[in-house]
Amino acid sequence: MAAKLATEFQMTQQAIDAFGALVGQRAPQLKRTPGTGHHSDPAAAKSVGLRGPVAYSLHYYGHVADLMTQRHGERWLRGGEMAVAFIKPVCAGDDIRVVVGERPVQRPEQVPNGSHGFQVDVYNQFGELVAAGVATLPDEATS
Amino acid sequence: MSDAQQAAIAPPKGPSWDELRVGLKVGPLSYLITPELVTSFCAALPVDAAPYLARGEMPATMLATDYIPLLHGTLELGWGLMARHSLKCLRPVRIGDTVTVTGEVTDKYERKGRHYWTLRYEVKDSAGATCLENLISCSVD
Repeated sequence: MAAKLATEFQMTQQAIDAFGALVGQRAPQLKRTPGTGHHSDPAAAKSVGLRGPVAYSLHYYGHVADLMTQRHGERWLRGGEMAVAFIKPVCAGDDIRVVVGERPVQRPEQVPNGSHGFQVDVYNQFGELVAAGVATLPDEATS
Repeated sequence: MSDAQQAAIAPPKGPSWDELRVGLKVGPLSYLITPELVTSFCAALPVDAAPYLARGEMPATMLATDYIPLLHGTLELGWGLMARHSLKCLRPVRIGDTVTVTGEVTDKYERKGRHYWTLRYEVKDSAGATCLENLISCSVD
């Protein structure tokens, strides 16, 4: 099976705002007011106990799907699955590392029969695991 | 403090978790999947849009945030944090196709004093075939 997949990036406030604007692009009635809310405003974020403006979990989750798409293409898009638990918030300015397949699958029960599983891990700059789960591909014979 | 900050920090207004009903169906939403949507999504991550545009296919998680418009008016999302998300890819979504997104609230529960909800939502292509199945659980405070 292929070697690990990985990507690293900084979760900038600009990136958080750009990701947050995507919903408003599809649903204009939900367009966010720039600079407000716990995704953009440090005061609002701190008022709910966050270190700073928090990233959307589906933002860095999207990188897992992208890594799987770029490596496995149609096999991923026709039968691939992923399931991730979000453990700690990612905040503006955090350095994020997304790795797929770096260590053995930690919860094998999450891998359906007839599939091959890859451990998914997301770390911040402190080396803390901020999200973890599994991505699976259907076996060649069933895809 | 500015009005915008006060509005952001004020308690959320709208239907609460207590009012949320398991089994509630939400949607449909309908979108034309355009190259511009794909390009914007890839730029925000950021990842390279070129492979998606070349294949004529949407990134699999591009509509995963549709839980927000699906629940709009049904549940005030407030300060919730996402607990888990799962995605099943059944077939690619083609750029140029019009998709429909629908969902159902499948669970609500309390854990360690926090309130959680679970929504299953799926993306169907214009032929009615299911392309993507999502399941999300979030807290709401």
